[in-house]
Amino acid sequence: MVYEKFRPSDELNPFIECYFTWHSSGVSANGLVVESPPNGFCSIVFNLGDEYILHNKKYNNLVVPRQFVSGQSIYSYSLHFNGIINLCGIVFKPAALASLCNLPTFEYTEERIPLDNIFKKPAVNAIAEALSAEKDNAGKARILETFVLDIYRENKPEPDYIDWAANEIIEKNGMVDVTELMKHVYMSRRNFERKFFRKVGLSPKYYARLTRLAYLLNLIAGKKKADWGALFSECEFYDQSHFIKDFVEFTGRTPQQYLEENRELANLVDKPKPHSID
Amino acid sequence: MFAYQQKDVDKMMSFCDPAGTVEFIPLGAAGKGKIGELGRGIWESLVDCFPDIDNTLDAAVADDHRTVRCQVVIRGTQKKDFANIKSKGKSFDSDHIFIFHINDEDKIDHISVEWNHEDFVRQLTA
Repeated sequence: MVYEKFRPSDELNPFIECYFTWHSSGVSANGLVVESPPNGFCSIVFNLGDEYILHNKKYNNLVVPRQFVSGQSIYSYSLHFNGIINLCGIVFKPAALASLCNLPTFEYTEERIPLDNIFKKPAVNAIAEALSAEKDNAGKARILETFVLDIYRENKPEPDYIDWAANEIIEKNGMVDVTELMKHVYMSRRNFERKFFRKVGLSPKYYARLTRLAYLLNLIAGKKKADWGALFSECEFYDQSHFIKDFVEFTGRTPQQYLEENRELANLVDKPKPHSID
Repeated sequence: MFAYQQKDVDKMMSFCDPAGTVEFIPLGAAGKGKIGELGRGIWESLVDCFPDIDNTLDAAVADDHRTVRCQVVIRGTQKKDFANIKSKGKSFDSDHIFIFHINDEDKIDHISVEWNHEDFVRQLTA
């Protein structure tokens, strides 16, 4: 199982978190289940391998489209594989689907939208074919970068205060005071919340809660033991009941159950460090 | 939710079929009725008793083509007695789930609302 991440160019850095490739080295992953908690990012994914199934709170058995846009997840989900895994994709900064592609992110929460519902089918097919033909992982990332650059150069987006605020929440792993954040954006709370919702798909406070828990889950990913006291303090939870409430709400499990039962990708691969695509 | 934020019950009603049904789940049988009657009455009363009532839409998920589930935080400060709750001037902050069903005329014809009513009462009376 190989999972790699690639950094975007400086030009796309305000909008793109990373590109990724994930494959099972041509080996069939029969019966493999991979779980993922919400991570705070939207993505575009190309499946170059066999079909697989998604389970989340909304879909019990969704055959995932070959190429799709994934909106914000607010609950854990699981992927069920019965064949060759060969995926690659673009992970967007939280407001970037709206800023870069003019997409209504707030309509995509918990969704997997076929990419040819959004972009022209021949263009989507051409990229999928180019990705299939490219064997090198960095090469795949370069194809994805070119795809995003074409959108960027056509739409000429400028990151605005919502991009800034959402990226700040990510940068600080959700440990931000939204009232403090608003002092830098010079607008009323209602206006800020409304614009943030339209671009990110969630309210700023809820997004910060989700991002903080995603950070904590990343710290314990692949582990079977955790020092809850230290994590509790590092992630600046107000009290234990807030911590447990957030944990159960976003993962569907108690912290201890999660440690014992989780089947995240981090259990199968080393945590990747992003490479340059050059 | 934005019309509710503006405390404009007429505007809220303009998105709804008044003959549609509403269910305020924690209130049991007393919480079931028509949007244009029970719904309007409760929302007008809330705006009257909690003049600073406000909400934040945390997330919205389409359950199907015609049904949307909204996670909303509602907050406000009590200035008048509401239902059987005597006003002590206290504030509440409560997670709510609204489920809206939209008919072929793009009007809301069913709303269900759920919240932790015990916690809501505790915040206003403790």
